[in-house]
Amino acid sequence: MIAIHNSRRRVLGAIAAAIALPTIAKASSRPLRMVIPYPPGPPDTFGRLFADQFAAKLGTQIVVENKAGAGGGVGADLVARSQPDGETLLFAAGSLVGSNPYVFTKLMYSPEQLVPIGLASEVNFILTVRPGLGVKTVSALVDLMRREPGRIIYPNGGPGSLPHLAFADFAHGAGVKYNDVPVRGGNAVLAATLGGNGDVFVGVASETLQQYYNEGRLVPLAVFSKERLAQMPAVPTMGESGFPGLALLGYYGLFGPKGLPDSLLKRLGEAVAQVSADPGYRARLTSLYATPGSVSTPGEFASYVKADQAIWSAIVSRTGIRITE
Amino acid sequence: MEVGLNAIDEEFVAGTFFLSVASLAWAAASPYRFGSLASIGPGFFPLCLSVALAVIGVALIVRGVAKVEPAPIVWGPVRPLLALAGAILAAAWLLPRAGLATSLLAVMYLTELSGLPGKGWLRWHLFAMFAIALACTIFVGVLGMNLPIFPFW
Amino acid sequence: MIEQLLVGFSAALSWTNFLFCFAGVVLGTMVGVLPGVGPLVTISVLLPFTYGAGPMAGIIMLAGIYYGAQYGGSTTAILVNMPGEASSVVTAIDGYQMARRGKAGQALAIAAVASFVAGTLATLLVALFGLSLGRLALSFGPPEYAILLVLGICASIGLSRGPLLQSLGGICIGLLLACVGADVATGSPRLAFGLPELADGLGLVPVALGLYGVTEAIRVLSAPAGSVAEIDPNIPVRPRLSGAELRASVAPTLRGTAIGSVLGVLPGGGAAIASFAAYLVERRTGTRRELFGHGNPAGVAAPEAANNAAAQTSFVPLLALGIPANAVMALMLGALMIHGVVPGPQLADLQPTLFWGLIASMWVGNAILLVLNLPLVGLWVRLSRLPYRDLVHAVMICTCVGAFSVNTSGFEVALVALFALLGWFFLRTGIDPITIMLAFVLGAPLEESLRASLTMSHGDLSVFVTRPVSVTLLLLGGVCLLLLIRSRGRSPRDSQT
Repeated sequence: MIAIHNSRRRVLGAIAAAIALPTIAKASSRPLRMVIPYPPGPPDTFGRLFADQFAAKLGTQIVVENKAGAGGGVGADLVARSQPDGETLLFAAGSLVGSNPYVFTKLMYSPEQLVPIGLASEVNFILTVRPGLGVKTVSALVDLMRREPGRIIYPNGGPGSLPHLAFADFAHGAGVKYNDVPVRGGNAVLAATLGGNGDVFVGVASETLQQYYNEGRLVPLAVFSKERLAQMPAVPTMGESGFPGLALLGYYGLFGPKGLPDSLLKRLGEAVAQVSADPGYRARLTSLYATPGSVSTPGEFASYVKADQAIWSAIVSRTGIRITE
Repeated sequence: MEVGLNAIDEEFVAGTFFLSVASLAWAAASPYRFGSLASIGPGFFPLCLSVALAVIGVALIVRGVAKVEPAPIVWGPVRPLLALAGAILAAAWLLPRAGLATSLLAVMYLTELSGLPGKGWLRWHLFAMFAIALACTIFVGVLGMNLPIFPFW
Repeated sequence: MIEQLLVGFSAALSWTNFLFCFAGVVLGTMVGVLPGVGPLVTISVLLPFTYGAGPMAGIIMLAGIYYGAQYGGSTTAILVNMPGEASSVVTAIDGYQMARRGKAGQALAIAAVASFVAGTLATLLVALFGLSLGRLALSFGPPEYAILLVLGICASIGLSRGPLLQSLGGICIGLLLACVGADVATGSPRLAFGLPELADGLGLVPVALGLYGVTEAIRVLSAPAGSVAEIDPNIPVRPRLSGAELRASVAPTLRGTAIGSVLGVLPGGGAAIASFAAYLVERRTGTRRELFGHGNPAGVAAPEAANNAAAQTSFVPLLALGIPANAVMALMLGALMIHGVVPGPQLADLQPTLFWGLIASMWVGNAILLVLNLPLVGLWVRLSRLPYRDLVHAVMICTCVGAFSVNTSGFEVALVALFALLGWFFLRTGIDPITIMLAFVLGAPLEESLRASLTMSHGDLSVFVTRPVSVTLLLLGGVCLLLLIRSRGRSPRDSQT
């Protein structure tokens, strides 16, 4: 009797284990879903680079999902509404929480539903003009804009975007007017300026721009960062050019749905910090003219995000750029 | 000038359609700012287009009604339209929920309803299995699409 | 330059690169044949697989997928009147008519040969003049684009087989459809009826599949029994292209290549018009004009040459300027960046092996595609001769999966049903969907260019006539339009069956 019971129990136990084991194994190695709310191509590239490293540091497989739409809103909404179990995360530009809530009256997602996890990279902005304009410094540009109000063309590839806000703040501070011409996307901005159909724009620092500067087909006036960029030591900062308040940058970060348990948050945050410290990742970022930033815990990142929000909300109030409906 | 219900001129119908679309577009676009030539607003284009479309629609209606010999519109059998549209709508609902194989089976069943000439029951189902298997292999296997084949896998 | 090209060839023909090129073009052809499934989806899916292979192999494969899809896209357009891409819509006009007359094999063969010739010549152009072409493209500002696109839309009236008023109405509807989506100046959704799926606009795929593929299926199934003749089985499956037919296709191919090469370098919108423009030019200047719309081989050769040439030259803005010309190029840009290569104006100097290797591999890819596709013609023709009751299932399956794959959402599939209903309606009322399609494709860039032009000039309309390039375009375009309208008045109008 006992023998039969034992063996039956053992068999049952084996069956139970056979059923449970794959489920348990699956749960711990279930791939993490990283939503990138942009179509493939830059800036999605930053996300894929990050995802690669992040997967290695975390020890889990990561599936990148491009969910483009509404300037990032569709993907953000998806993650904001997902279960806070650490399986769905968002890699997005900080503008989604840093400036969009102040610029746009109607958002597709609730920024409060997104919790900051870690900083992935920071990018810099450069005030750029076409050589035909004949200016080489910020003050020369300001003089030109004062002499001919409303004539200088600013091809606007993203209304309400960080470059747009940065430029608007610059113009507001200098007290000058410009002709805002809407075009579709950053590439159109570049094409317009190169072709002489645009005069000035704020570009994200990149190798492509650098090559144009080298060839003299575009002229960098100043960088919107606190210090000069290592790759462009000859270009002054906006601070040095008379606009100390314009130390701005953009960033990419990892976000999760609200309600993530603290332990999970901590674990994910540590992995992000490890990615930022990885020399290979840092080298890739440098080649992309980006920096890893210096944030190491979710708490620090949350403060970073708040500080960033303060900056942009002030700019939005000053410049009055608000997009309704 | 005969305008019986079953002999409506095709230009009249086209014109009515254009007019309705124009009204719909006008209604949808009127909340947006029209702007001026120097500062074109989001509403400029759609509103101008709906006016143009309305004018064209009215012109067609007038032409259709005033014709000496109306060219009556022939609607023809609606079964194929309903069957195929129904199949597509079924796919729209099923694909995100029920997996590739199930949805495609539903599509094929509904397509049959359009009145295709008969085929033996067994032969048809074998053909269906083959077609669905082939589709799954190509789309998911070769092209690597992110579509589950069955609801649970 | 020749030495650089030779270096490029030796790199392109290395085992790894050749293999990746082969894989790319095969996948691309498959993707192109399947309507709705576009190269964008496949390239994004395969992107991670290229990480380990190095930048050149990866880009070669992705490029192969892209222009391979152009080859394949005409297959279903010819066989079942279901264009896989915007560029195949025009091929379907005469191609499908040829198929209905039992000449599907010839149509497919002409398409393959024309595409190969165009691809070769275009690649040569890119090699010789790529950098200058890039700078030329920049001289096209918003006013020039606006004029070009307006001309394109007006010219589409020449393509339409319906009466003038209906065609104009179709244009308005197409333009309205293009207005759905994010407004360029505010980014907020317009005409979206509150649906988030429409916030970024209507996709091309559901519209094309519904208006063309499914509508054609409905048309065949609704026709009275026996009136849709099955093709005479005595016509050989793999007919030989007669010498005369080949010779007659040379001129259209060359004309198409020229048009496609030039239009392809224009970032954002050029390549879409390429096949339409080539077809229209062919109709005006080609021989045996009365055959157009009824199965004229030139009507297949010219647009196919144009869209393949455009596919090759659309790399120019990316390789010469670092500016992607369309969504697929943006993906390539991303792929290059991931591999640590950032294209810009100095790419040819900084990374000559990559630059010339890619160009050389484009030629290699075209050669592979010709060798692959010609023998396949027999297979396709055999498939197309299956009884329609079997084909229609294939059409339906491809439509549903294709539409779903765009955004992994059932919404796009439901849209296909809506456009199928519309397509059926147009069939019954004699409205030719081609004006709607072209206006829809060109509508968004047209509105953006017009708005940008007028904002630049502070509302001054003279901006369209005071710039050298725009004046040239206006004059050229005006002349072409006049000729088109006159020829339209002369040729007999045939009504839809």
